[in-house]
Amino acid sequence: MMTPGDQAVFTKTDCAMNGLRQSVSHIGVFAALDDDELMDIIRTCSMVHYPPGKIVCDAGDPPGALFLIDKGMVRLLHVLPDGSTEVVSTLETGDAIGALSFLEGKPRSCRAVAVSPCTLYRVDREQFNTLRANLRPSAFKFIRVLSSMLTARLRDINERMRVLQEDPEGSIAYLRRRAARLRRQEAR
Amino acid sequence: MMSAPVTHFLETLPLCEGMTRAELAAFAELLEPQRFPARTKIIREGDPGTVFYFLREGSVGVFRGTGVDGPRRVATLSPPEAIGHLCLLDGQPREATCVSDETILLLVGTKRRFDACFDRGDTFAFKLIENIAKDLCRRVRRVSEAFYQFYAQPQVSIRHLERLAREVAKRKEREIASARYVRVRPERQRQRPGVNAALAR
Repeated sequence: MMTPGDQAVFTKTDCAMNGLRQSVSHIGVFAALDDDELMDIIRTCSMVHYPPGKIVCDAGDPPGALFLIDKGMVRLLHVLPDGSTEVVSTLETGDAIGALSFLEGKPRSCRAVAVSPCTLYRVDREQFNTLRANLRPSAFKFIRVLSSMLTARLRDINERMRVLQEDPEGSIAYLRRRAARLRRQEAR
Repeated sequence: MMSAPVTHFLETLPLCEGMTRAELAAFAELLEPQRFPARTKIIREGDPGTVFYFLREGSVGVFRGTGVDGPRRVATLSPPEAIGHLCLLDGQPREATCVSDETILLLVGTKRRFDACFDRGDTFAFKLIENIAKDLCRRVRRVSEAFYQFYAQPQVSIRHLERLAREVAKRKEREIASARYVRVRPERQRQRPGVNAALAR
């Protein structure tokens, strides 16, 4: 559902397909779709802007839209029970934010914060679910590409876990530095 | 034509949730039953993902990593279970090696035939992708939680890592010892030409 202040991306009347293709060619998820499928998905999108430091979505937020980065950088943070954060990754043009929650319909798992001025495509979950319920090929192709991005995230975490366990000395040093930093922050 | 029990088996899989009888039958047409003896390498880590399986009978060990200790068993799969199905999303190289523990019965499908069904708009293919996506989300959440637990309880993690550090040190000692053995062996073989000839035969 579009909210006040959101800006529609394209409507039926101003859809010049070539221009549209060109304007979204840097977003990998869109590139995998044919013309009709792209139009289906684009109709569920709006454009949103975030200044640096602004939270795009926070861990624990109810499930909602998916964001695709058009311009700018967004940092993904895992929020720990003590309120401190660990960087999951820094996302750039073409990357997706909120894919887990968008696909699963569960609360957000991470906090996403704009690092630079950002322009994002906001894919409305309700409108997308309508495409899904109507068994539109566009919805399932979109899910397939989005999921392949998640497999990359799964591989990345597995790899980080492997490094953490294979270099225990280095990991212990990091954890000690982290614990000291948190103690200093608490003392302040 | 696949037998009816195959559709009954597919019905028990979480990955086939929401499929109608007709969709299950269409999916069953894509799968071929194959029996493999014990200790068969079904999937090899690093190989391209072109085939997916459903385990109907028997158990399969999942192994990861290399090194002096050899691959480590990280899981044991038993029916009903999907194996290698993430290749349907991206066809990326396999993450682990799967070896049959005993004689097993698998339903085997190829990514190429599945892709043809998906591109044709077969609804069973849509539902399978949706279910794989949901399963993947659960896995990402579970692995993330386990990973960040390390940071959430630094003292517990440090104790765990200290234990690991001791194990790694022992493993390195063994690696050095086995490297010494490899270096020494050709010397020995040169000194024993009769043995070398027997081995060559």
